[in-house]
Amino acid sequence: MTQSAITLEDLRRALAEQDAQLAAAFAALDPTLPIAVPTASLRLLAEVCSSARSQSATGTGGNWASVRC
Amino acid sequence: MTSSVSGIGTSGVGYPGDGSLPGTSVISPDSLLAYCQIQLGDLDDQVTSQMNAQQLSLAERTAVQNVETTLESFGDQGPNGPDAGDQMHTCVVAIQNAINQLPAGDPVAAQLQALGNQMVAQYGYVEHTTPSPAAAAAPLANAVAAAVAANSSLIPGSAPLATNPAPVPPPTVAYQLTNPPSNDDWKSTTDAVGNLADDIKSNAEMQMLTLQDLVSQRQQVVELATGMMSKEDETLTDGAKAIGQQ
Repeated sequence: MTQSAITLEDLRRALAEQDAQLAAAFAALDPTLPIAVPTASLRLLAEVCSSARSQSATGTGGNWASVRC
Repeated sequence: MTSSVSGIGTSGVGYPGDGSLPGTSVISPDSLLAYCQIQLGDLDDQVTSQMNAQQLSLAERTAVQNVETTLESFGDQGPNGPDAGDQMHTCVVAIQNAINQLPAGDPVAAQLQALGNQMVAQYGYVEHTTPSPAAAAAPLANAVAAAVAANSSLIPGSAPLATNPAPVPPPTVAYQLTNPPSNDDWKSTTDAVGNLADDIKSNAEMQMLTLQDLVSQRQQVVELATGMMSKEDETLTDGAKAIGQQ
């Protein structure tokens, strides 16, 4: 089975879609109303970014399948 | 209970006595956005860095492949025969062009430079620059013309003569190969360039995997963030429904 190569353009498109997804979610919120978010989720978000940093530095891949919102 | 999350900043955390649920942080949407942007910042820097590395690898690979194509155009035996010097000159120019296409200090450019130096030394490539005979006579001719022009201005009513110096013909450059490639010499040279291209390709593939991994992790972060907000929406909607039922 052949696998089509992923290009830089594909990745740029994916990043743009991620930004759009994030922007749309924020746009749906009422800016005047404070919101309650689980502290654990905030921590998890920070940990995912932190892990990505360290994993990238060591050049090893990660399995993020367990990370769910 | 509200709690602070490292990195969120004071503006985003908590409203004392706001009655929020245990284990939750009450923050403004703007603060949540700022928090996500801060967390994503480093990740984005890495993505940008990896993308730049990919583009540099592509430029390096293109430059090296151009050299490889030029070298291989002279067959298995390489530059030989009466035109060997000119052919080697073509190879040397191809290497120099490739180096010029890459940024200063680029390691691949340095490798190409070393390879070119080795090639020049191994095959005894030399450039002979011979000034043209006309060029040797040009200074004398120009001096005579200037003297004539100076004298002519002494004759009343005469227009000064033009004193433009005679154009100096370009020197003749001949390319010579004192030790043309023999046996498998040229194959070794082209293989060295090919190996360089292969190394760049391998490194680029590893970089691309890292880049894909980073984009995938960023997707997880984005889903995590949007999930928090959509759950918040659901909570608000459920709350509104509950209020409506009372």
